[in-house]
Amino acid sequence: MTSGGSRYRDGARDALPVVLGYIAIGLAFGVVAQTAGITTAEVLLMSLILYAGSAQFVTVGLIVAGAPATAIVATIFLVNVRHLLYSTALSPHVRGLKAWQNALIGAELTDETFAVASGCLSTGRRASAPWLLGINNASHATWIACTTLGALLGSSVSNTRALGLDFALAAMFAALLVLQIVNRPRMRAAVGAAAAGAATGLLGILVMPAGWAVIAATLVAATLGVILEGGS
Amino acid sequence: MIREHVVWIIVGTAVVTVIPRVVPLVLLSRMRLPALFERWLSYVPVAVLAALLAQAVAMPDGRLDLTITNPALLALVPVLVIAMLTRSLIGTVTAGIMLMALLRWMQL
Repeated sequence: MTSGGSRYRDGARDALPVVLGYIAIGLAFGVVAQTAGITTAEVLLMSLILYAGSAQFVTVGLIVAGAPATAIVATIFLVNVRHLLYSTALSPHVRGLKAWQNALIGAELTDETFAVASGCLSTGRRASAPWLLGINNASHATWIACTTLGALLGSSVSNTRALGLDFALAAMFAALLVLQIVNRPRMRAAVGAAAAGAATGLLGILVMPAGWAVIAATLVAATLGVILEGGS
Repeated sequence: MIREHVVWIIVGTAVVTVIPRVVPLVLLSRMRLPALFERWLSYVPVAVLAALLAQAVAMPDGRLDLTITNPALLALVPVLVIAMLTRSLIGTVTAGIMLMALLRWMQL
């Protein structure tokens, strides 16, 4: 799909769309956090060990609202539990790797790094530890740097929206979705699953948090995909 | 400056986040999964991408916006067409960013 190689460097190059997207969201998060009274050191620590876009926005909101620590931790667990699905879906591809390598790879799993990795794997790429770590480290480093920069610069940061950078991740999801579908032997089942996933992901946010809507969409769409595949 | 109670909140949220990220990858990669479940898992990326894409374009600022003034919604169809024609990830992302900058410049 992209560089095709399995080295660390290839992974870092494959992460470029994620890097572009994280520049925009990372700067925005840093500015929002600083405005809300979160210090630069706290932003840095959060991006280093929590490393989750929407969860970091939610955490800042709850800290500012004065929510108790236990409530914040419980909320973030619910926001991030969808990673169970990503981790499970990647697991058949990393059977050859060592347990500590898989732990390192899992620790930096996000919506976007999962999207890129599974997109490349669907084109027949073999998963190697250096390649996966290259994707992850390039994305995480960008996130740490840009959230911290945003917190340092505050509202003086230039407008990334005018540059269109805030659309990078949406465009990446669109491209990866198209590539996933055209690379599948049963395209009809994949199109059906995608339609169900989009509909559930969208309707879901009317009645539940966005992260849970992703889980609901996955359960509905993947099941439909298997059913459609069985009938074709 | 770093406040102690904020550090504990960050550590707590990090712990409950890393567990669902790491545990399946470490444990399930050690075992053979039923064929039907693996087939189901192979649809997870398509399902997740479709849901994330729908949310990203329909609620660009975290709120549902299905009006014609939402530039992400306007850019969606051209971006999907570009992806289908070029089959290039980085090409599509670059075109999408330029298209969005153009829409913003046109005050859409």
